[in-house]
Amino acid sequence: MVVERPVERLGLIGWLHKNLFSTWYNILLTLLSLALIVAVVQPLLIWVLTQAEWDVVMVNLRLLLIGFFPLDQIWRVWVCLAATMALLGLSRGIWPHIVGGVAPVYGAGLLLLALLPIELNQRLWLVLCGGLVFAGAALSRFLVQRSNQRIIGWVAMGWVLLLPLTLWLLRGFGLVLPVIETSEWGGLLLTLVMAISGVVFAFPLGVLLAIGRRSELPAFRWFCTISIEVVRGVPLVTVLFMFLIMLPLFIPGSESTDNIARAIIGLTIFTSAYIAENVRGGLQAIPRGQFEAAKAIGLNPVFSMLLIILPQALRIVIPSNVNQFISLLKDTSLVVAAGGGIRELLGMADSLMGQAEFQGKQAEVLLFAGLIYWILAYSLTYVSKRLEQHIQRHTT
Amino acid sequence: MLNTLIVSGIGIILASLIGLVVGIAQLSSNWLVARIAETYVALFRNVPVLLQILFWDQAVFLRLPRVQDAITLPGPLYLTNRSVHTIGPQPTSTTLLWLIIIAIGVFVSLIVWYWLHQRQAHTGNPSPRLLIAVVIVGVAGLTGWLFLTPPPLSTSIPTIGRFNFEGGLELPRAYISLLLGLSLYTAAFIAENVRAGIQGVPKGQYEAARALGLRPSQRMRLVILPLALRIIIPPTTNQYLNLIKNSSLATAVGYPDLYQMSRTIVNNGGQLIPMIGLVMGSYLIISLTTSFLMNRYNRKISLQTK
Repeated sequence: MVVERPVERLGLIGWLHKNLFSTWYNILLTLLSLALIVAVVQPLLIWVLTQAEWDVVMVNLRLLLIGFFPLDQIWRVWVCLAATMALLGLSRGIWPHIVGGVAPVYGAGLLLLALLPIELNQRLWLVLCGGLVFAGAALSRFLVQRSNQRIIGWVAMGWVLLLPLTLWLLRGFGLVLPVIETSEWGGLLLTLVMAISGVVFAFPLGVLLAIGRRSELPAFRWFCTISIEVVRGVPLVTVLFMFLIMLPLFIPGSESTDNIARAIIGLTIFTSAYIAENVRGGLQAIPRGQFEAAKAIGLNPVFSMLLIILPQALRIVIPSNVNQFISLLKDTSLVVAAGGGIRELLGMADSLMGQAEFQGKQAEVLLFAGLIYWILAYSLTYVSKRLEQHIQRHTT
Repeated sequence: MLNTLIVSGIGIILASLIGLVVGIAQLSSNWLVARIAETYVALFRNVPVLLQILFWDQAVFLRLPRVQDAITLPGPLYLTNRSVHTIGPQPTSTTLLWLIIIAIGVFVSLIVWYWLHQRQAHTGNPSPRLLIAVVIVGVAGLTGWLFLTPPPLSTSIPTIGRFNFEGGLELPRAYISLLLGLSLYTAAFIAENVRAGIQGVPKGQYEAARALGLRPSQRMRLVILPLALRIIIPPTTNQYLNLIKNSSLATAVGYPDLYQMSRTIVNNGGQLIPMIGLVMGSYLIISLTTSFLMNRYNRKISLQTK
């Protein structure tokens, strides 16, 4: 017979006593914490609700979110957002343990935003995006329950195709869709484009560098090691400075190439060195026996790497690469410090603060930008933590 | 260059202290304290450090009153929208002599420390080594202070002048914002490392330490912390390096650090390629030195296996 472990029932008073007032120093700590909360939260709330002038954010909302993207073409941004949200919803249905609360919170958030006083058109788009999250989640859960496994492949492919299709749609092509130069992109849109393309391009480069660092050819190994260590040893700002400011001075004609492409190259090179180190850690964790087994069944080095070693190693390093993406997302803001006039989210906030009409409202603008970064980074951290737990459960 | 080192050094110390406190607070048995610490980490970790620096600079310190009606805090500590003024030490003619006396004190205490250490290794008699060493240095410093005339340091108190404060220690707004932004941001990461490190010590170690009859303070100091440090040190080294590299964001608030200076020189028609090479080389040297030192420390405390 199995005897259940007795569950401790404390009640409110008991809980308070156990967790807040058990000893004299705990009482002291509790009182100090309460004082701290009151001292910090109260003036902050008063300021946010009564003194702050949020109209500076409302007036410039479009600039902060999409920059100077032409308004008559704004449906392209909405389509990209809707596709992303649909994929998020579908993923929620397939991997509920990993995506967790992120999808419903995003969906509900978008629906709530639709209540804001904005144009009817935008409101409909918001409702569509929010609704797609829930519809996607319901659809994929239904299909998974009917043990339709093909949906997983489709969703994975959707995520892979998302970036190229998004870039293609946003930039446009000659005949049907007018081209929108990247100089008109800005705000949050640009932050996301830079961060996502940075990590997507950096990933294969990082894997190559990591393999190169373990190569048996000394020249190749030294080249990879030195480039990884040098890039990791210098600040990102100086790397961006090189690509944004110095490159056009060195190479005549390259000033016409677009700023944002150069920033993305800088971010890619910087991130690839860090990804390389993560992947190297994953490669080191693969037992020797796997290499020997691959050799024993007659695979040549390339195939044994591609088919046996890399799939296992990359699986281990998924969480650390997600973390790398989170820090890249925050680090895209460094293009402001490097100069070059790219107006991503923080750059746009910075240039708004410099305008005379918005003097004295820096706190509002910065807090709003900070809130957006926070929502994105926090939800990614949440997913990455759950992913880590998921992988740990399934490897041991 | 010096400014980069100063702001990184102080930033590392501040971030470690805050990180340690917050990291331990996250595991506190007091529910409220643990939640506050977790909120701090979640809040400061997920916002770009540049935004935080700009926030302190533009939204907090710029909004402070002008010099004429500065906020006065006990200390005296004056807050204005240009800089923070406080009491500062002022070297006098005997400062150098005093420093030499302290250096001798440190030297003597190191010898005594080593001797006591050897004695404990041989006889097993523990002795309050740290206390004795600190007392020796303290006595050296105090005698120097009492017997030297004039005293080695005089305090200079800021007084309000016609346009600005005169005397005292002046900390410019850019410096304070940079320091606050960097240390609060990095501290959130260090706190996570500390938490993971303490949680990573197997439960059996607590129980074994208790079975040996060690007191709670001894348990923490002799068993748990050394084990936790092994887990904490490597990721924290990375955070230190990140802080040093992020100090180049000084350029955004106009604090004259290594990177900012090089940009000014380049703008004034200096040689571009040598300058940027010099900057990158300097950061490389600082980074490599730090990681070398931390790796040595890590090897010293890591498991000795034959």
